[in-house]
Amino acid sequence: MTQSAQMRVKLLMALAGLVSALGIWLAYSTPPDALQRTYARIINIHAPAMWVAFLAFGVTALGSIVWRFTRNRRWDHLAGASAEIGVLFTVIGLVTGMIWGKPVWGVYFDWADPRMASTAVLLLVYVGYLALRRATIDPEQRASRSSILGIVAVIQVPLVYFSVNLMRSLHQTQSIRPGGSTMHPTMLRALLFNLGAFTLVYVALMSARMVVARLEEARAAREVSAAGSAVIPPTLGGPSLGGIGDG
Amino acid sequence: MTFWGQVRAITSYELLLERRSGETWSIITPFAAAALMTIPLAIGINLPLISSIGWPIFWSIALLFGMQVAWRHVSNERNAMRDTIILLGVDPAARFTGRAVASGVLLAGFMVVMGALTVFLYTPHHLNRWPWLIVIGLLFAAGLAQLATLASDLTLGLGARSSLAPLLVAPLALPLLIGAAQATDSLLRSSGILPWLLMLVLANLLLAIVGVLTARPLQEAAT
Repeated sequence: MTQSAQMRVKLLMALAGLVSALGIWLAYSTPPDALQRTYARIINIHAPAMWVAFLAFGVTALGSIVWRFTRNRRWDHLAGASAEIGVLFTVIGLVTGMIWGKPVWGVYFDWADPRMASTAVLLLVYVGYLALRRATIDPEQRASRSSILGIVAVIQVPLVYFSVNLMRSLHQTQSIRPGGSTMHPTMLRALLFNLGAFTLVYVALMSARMVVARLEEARAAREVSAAGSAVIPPTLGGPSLGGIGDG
Repeated sequence: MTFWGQVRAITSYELLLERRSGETWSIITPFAAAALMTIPLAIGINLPLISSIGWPIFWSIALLFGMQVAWRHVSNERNAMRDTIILLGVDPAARFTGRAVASGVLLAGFMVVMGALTVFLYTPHHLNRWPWLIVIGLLFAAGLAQLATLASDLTLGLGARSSLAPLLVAPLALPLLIGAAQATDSLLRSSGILPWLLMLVLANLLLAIVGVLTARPLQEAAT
């Protein structure tokens, strides 16, 4: 990897860290909600985390589809990296949702809530996707198998998103719609800022992970060539072994 | 040989293998029966509670041990057997369908035994339109069989295959579990089961489409 690429990743990470710190401060400084009081501030972390998780899983599916057409390993790396970050953001989304749920709903996890239950299933499916990648050693086989699961698994994303519309439960429906928002402008500003900040964190983590994937591939290639070079094909003209190979 | 002829041949072959190994009936079914018995023992003498959890427990057992039934390919399958089938020119989609049908047949039998045991051990609440339970059970068995066959193809030849299976199958099988359990609950409450039946049918259709479409790429990936 070149020095400039390393520097670019570092700069991006620093910028993402700075912007997300500002976003968290902004989330904390929003006025308390009339009903949920200060607990409503958690939504500024929870909702953007889930949005970015959906984006990440979408990118995984996209990378998988493009890999199937191009067979370019780069797209497989993109799919795998995006799934890893998607799992991270799903965990953040679930944990913050549970922290918010306890004081507001009275329970950490409500099984009757289709959004929560379907998000937990989504997380498990992508953990399975990552396990499948980890279990497949051959890069070509890994790309081929995981691309199929990557394409199939993304069907769940719209199911999770629209589950609150399909089945009514404790979970609120979307606050931001094409027609406008039901949120106070101050709260909406913090939410949208965090959405941008988390997306930047996603981009920074993706670029770092892609660099790591390239390094991993280079190392694997070195190891293969080292193992291969240890086995030298027999050649004529070497030291005599009592007639073997002399003919 | 036609597509359906190939499906028939693969199904018979899979069932023959099962008849020889006896994994479903001599290992998985007794173990599942033992699991059915341990739950009331753990709960204690609370007959109304045991009676009310009868059907939910039946579906949980059907999912967890049904996965084992549908996943028995792992212990039976050898690379040489797979290669022979490929060299014979069997359509990968026919292979997927045949294996899924064989698993579905075994799962249906397994669920009949478990259902009878649930009735004897738990005395669950009476279902008003009980013949619908057969339809629900068949849809559940078909879906789980397809899903496990798909997961089996996806992990073919991998070292960690047997530990990877539950991780792949269990989360994706949840729509089947929810559909079957909620439909049974609707039967108990004498309310409509159509939405849940549609959910099961939709899950089956999706799995069938994905299974047939991905059969060839997965076969190529594994060889």
